[in-house]
Amino acid sequence: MPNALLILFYLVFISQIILLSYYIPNKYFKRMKYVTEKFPPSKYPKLYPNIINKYKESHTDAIARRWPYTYRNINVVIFCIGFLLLGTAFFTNFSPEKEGEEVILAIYTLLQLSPFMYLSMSEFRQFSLMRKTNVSGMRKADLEPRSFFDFISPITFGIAVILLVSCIFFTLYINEYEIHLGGGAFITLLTLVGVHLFFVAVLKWQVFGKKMNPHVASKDRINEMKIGVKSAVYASIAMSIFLILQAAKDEFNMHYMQVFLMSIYFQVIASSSLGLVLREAPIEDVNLEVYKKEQPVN
Amino acid sequence: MEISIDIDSAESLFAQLMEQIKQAIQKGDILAGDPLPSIRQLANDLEMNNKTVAKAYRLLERDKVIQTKGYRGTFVHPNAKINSTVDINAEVLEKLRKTIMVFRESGVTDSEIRIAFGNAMNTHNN
Repeated sequence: MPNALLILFYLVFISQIILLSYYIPNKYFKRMKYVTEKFPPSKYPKLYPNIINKYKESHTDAIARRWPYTYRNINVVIFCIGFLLLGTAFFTNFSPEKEGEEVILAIYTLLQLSPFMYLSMSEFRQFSLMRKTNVSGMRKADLEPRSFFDFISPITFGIAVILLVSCIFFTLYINEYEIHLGGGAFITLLTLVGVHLFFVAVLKWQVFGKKMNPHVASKDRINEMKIGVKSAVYASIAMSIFLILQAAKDEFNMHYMQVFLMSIYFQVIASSSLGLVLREAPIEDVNLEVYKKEQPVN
Repeated sequence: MEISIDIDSAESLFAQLMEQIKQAIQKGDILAGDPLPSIRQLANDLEMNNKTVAKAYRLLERDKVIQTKGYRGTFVHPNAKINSTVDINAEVLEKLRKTIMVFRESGVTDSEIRIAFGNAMNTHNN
């Protein structure tokens, strides 16, 4: 194997470790720290339905302030595991040409993404608790109709559709239009259709479905929808390109490209979803006053 | 333009919704020809039943405050500003009051008026 390829592998993998276990988590850490310090449970109880009523009021602020550090420590451990893997690869003469190495990469990526997945699931649970504990009878809504194209340009959406169709036809073409049940092409097409149906369902629910967070300000809710739609469309584009390149790699016997493709794909997916939240919704612009403790009426 | 509904209020939800839309039109927050959200969108946002929003939309359409253009959606009626000031309930009440006065003057008792009104309503419904 040429040395350049190995160097390239190390560079791509280091980039993945830094991006998913240092750069993005660090931004999220600052975001969480900002919220827990400036908007503590004692003053903004609606933001913390999981700890309010569960712990003594005097303890809630301290508990919330620990969250960002726990999150950061978990990412530090994952970051170290990444460099441990890198060291192991270096000392055991790892070669990207070997079959099966991509499984280790996939498992490690899953580990890197697990804190974000945990955050998403916690957010979901928080919203559910917020709805249960919401005693206000006031319901608000915008008198403006929403459509999918309020959140994404038709050109970007068109690119995603063209790439999806191209990916389907390219997969069929290199398999000479023969699909066998359980075969590689069958799984690729099934994955494509399944993931896109999932995207459609999630977007429909996000844009037209019931309000998850009962307190969220109208502007922030629209922003969340925009991020959701953009993330899904960008993920679709990345997925189609990834699967086209995967099929081309198999066709031209370039297995050594597998780990690069996967690592770059994971990095693009993470940047287009997690990074988008950081870019499109800076925490300073989010209206957190809606979670403020209501003063008792005299 | 944001509207708010108080689910704890004694006033019915559809009446509050109608009132909020009419107020938005009168204040000029939404103009003639402006599109309105779909029944489903508004119902989900306000955490209401679709039927409640549909009822408010149906009554607003009857009052020519909004108009539905098939699959294109619902829009503010061209004469919405004038029509939204008309209180159909007050109009009905005024006409009924005048009719009752005429009956009383001709010697019909209140109970006879009530029975006759009930019969007339039942005849109309059947």
